[in-house]
Amino acid sequence: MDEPTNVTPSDLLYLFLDGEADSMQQTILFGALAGDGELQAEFAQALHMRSALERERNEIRPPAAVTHDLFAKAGFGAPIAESTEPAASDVIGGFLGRFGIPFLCAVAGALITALLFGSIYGHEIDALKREMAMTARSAASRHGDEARAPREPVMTLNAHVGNEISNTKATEPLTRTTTTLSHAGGRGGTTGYSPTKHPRQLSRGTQISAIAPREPESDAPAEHPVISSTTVRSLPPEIHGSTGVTIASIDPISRPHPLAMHEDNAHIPLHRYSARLRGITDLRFYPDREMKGSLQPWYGNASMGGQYYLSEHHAVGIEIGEDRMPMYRSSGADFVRDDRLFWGGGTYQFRMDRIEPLGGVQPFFEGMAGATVMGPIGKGMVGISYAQEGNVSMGIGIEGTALLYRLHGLWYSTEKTGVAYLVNVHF
Amino acid sequence: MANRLSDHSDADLYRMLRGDFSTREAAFGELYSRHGSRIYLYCRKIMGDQPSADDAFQQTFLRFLQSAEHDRLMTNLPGYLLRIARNVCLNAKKRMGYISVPLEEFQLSVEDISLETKELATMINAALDLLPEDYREAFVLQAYNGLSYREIAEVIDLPITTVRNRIVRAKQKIRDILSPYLADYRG
Repeated sequence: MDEPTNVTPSDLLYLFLDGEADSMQQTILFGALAGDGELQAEFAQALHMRSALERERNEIRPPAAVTHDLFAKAGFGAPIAESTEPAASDVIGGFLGRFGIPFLCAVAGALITALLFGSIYGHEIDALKREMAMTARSAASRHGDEARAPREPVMTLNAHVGNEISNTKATEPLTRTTTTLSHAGGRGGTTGYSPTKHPRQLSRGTQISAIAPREPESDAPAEHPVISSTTVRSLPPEIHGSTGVTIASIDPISRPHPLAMHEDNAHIPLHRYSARLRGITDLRFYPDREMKGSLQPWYGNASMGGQYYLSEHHAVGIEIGEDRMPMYRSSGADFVRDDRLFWGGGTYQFRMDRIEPLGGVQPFFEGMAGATVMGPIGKGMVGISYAQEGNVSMGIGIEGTALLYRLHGLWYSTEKTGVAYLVNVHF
Repeated sequence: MANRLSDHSDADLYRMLRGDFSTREAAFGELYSRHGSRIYLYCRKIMGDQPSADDAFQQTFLRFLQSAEHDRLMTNLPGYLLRIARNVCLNAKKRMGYISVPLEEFQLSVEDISLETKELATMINAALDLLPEDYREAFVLQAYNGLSYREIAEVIDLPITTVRNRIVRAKQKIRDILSPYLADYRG
């Protein structure tokens, strides 16, 4: 059966498709095809089979686990992934090839994050701007009175949508109250405060500034200002005493105005921006892997970035960095064992209130979504930060990193955890 | 280490396997990246099941690495790798007591005759298991590994006419097996 027999048109068909038919055989085949419907059908089916085989040929690759195992058995440090990265022919091309994607992802991530949080806090920020403008105008108009009055403290209150509000009246009303109301919708002005608007009706971003003069001019019992207990505690004692106001909070977890000084943070100026450096140490990789024989630069697992504080508790930013992951790769032109991954992404940070009994440390959570040339990367960190007086704060926490990467046509993930430390410079 | 290895020939890289550790590692990595997929494909198609194929694949490259310790002239490294893979696979099959299913017993339980390309590839794999071992090997080397008839003849050390017959017969048998499902496909 193995020895050559008479070659049929069907045989010629396969020889032709395999590129093994000579010119004479091709001529015979085409002649047969012209008048044989069955042979034409067989030709079409053979072509269909060949395309299926070619597709499979291009898709099947050794599994990553098999490759890892083989390299380990061979005594080599790590498997090698095929890379589709083009060789960097010049400095600019090399820079873009290595940093371009992370940089673009960092910018995109920051934009998305800014848009996301802008939509959430936009009203608050708008209200803040309006209030600042009105405060400036009000201050200008009061300038003469204030010059005569020995002291006229301003209390700033916040009511936020979603916060539980308990409507409790002051047991003793202020005898005259001048209140500034400004709503996110743009309504605002200086008026005598009237509690006809139930506190629950106050929209997010509503700012209430109650000016409590020393001399009572009215005793209208209906005009009971509703004041945050937090703010009241920050009032000078003489004001608290002179007004006799005993106030229950309308907003037990009310957050201070983004630019106001929280009493707990009164000694720390709140800045809008910060630059930061971050590093990771004491790494552990998942699944269990070693960084055997890998490059270990002193600047590994480090990042830098900037943050913008939307409020005292929320900040967004962008960050770029370099991490060591249990990943190895080679480029088409250079064979480089390289486990360093450059990444970039957008960050979001939530900071809790300072914990005074613990020295004023501030717990925080932070997340990062970004990209590397190998695939998407994400980070999460839980930690505490501490700020002395001045513009510098330091933090430490546990950070987890996950990377998705493509190897031989399949997606894999690798993760690591470590102790992260960071230094922020606020300005 | 940043040697440019892509410009080196297979023979150069094979010689580098006798170098120091880092050179060996780099050369092995480059050769693996060049030929690993092809060898893996061969092992998968010949062995059938993945665990056996994975094992045969690893053994192939480990034996290849060991062979480099001896000074030899390498003129056709892909063919050499395939010969190692072939020996590994055949030995493994002997140990496993491979039983070939007669062609007549073959029944595919697929009713859908409008085969997409991926489905057809799966069907071909199923049909491949039913081919005689000699036919299957020739078919795999040609269809999956992309070797010419002459290269296949060198690998399996048979006359080219025999190789040609095996390949053509293998393809015709696969088409016969799949004919109920290919009947509506006329291009």
